[in-house]
Amino acid sequence: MYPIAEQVGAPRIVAAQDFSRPFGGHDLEGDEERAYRRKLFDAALDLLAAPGADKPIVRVP
Amino acid sequence: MSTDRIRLLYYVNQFFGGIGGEDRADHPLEIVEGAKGPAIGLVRALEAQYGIGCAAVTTLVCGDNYFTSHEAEVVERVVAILHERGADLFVAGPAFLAGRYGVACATLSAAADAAGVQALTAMSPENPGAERRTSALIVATGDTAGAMTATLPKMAKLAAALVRRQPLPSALEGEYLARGRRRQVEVGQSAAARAVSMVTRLLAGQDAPTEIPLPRRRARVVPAAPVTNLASATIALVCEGGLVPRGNPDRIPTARAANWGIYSIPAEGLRRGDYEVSHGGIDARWGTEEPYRLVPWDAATAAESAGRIGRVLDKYLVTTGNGGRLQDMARIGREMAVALRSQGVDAVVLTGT
Repeated sequence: MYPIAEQVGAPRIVAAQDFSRPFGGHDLEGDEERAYRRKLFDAALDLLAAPGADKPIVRVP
Repeated sequence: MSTDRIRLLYYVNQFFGGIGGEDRADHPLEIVEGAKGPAIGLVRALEAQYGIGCAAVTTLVCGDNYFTSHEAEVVERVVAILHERGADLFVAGPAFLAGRYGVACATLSAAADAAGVQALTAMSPENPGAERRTSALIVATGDTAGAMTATLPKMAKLAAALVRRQPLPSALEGEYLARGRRRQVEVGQSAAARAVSMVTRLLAGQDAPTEIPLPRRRARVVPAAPVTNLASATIALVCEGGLVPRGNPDRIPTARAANWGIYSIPAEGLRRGDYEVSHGGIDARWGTEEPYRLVPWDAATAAESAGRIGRVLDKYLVTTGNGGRLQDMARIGREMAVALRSQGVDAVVLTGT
C-alpha cells in the first residue's frame, strides 16, 4: 500500500505490484518470481544508498 | 429533481458487492442495475424514514486492488456514469476500517462532489481514506462490518439532508468527520464571557468543548542519511505482513497489533510450512505458500553473495500492519530500531502490505 506509506511520510518506497505478496509479483511463480524479487530488492538497496527523496516512490517494471 | 424520487449511484467493493473476498480484489469496475449489498438497506431507510424513493438505483462494484492500481481510470469512469445516469446522489461504502476501500470511497465521493453531484461515504475515523484530505462527506462508523446496522440510519439521515439541500448538522455532533468548514452562528453570550467560562471549566478539570479542535500534528520524520558503504553494511529484514513462525508464539494479532516479534532465520532460510501469516488485511495464502514474498531472505542473501551488501542479519522483525494505530506503529518502529542498533544493523528493507 505505497499510497499510505507516502501519506505517512516514508522517504524511501519501492512500489510492489501486489500487497498480499509484496516481494512476489502479481501472477509470478518460480524462477520468474525469484528474479523479480531480486530486482525489487536491488531497487530497495539503491534507495538505501541515496538520500531520502521528495518523490519517494520507485517502480520496478 | 423532485426531492421525493432520486437517482442513486452506489459504490461498493468486491466483498460488499457479493463477488468474493480478498481473492477477488482484482474485480474490474462493474455496473449492476439495482441495489446490491448495503445499497439495499440505504434505499429502504431513505424510503421508510424520509419518504425519499429511488427512481433508479445503480450499484458499482469494484475490487479494492483494481481501484488502487487503476485509480484515475475508475474515477473518470464513475464521473462519466454519474452524468450518463443523471445521478442525484452518490454513496460509497461503508468501508469501516478497510484501508483500500476507504481510500476509494473518499476519492470517489470527492470526485462526485466536484462533478456537482451530492455525495456521501462512511468509514471509521482511523481509516486511511479519512486521513486523505478530500472534501468528501464522511459518516463516522465503527471499525468492523458489525457496525453496519448502526451506520445505515446515519447515512440515510445525512443523505436525506443532502438530497433536500438542508443544512447539515455541525460536525462537532460527531455524526460525520469534520472537513474544516466553519459556519457562523449566534449564541447568547459575548466571546469574552464564553472564554472566561471555558477557562473556569478547564481550571476545574472539567470538559471545555472547543469549536476549533487543533489538528493532530504528525511529527515530520527526517529521512535517515544514506548508507555510505552498502558493500560493508549489515542489512536487516523487517516485515509488517504478519509472517510468524507456525503457532504464532508471540500472539501477534491479525489486526490492531501493538506488539511485534523478532525471529531467528535458520541457515537454510525460511522453510515453507514453518510459517503462517497473521494478517487480516491481505490474502494470507501467498505468504504462507512462499515466505520470501514477505521476508525476501533469498534475494537478500543473493545480494550478500554478490558482494552488494556486507551481511544479512540472521533474524527478522515482524508485526502486523492492519488497522494499526499510528501511535502504536510509531512506538513499535522505535522499539525495533533499538533492537536493530544493538545487532549492529546499518539499514533495513521493510516489507509493507
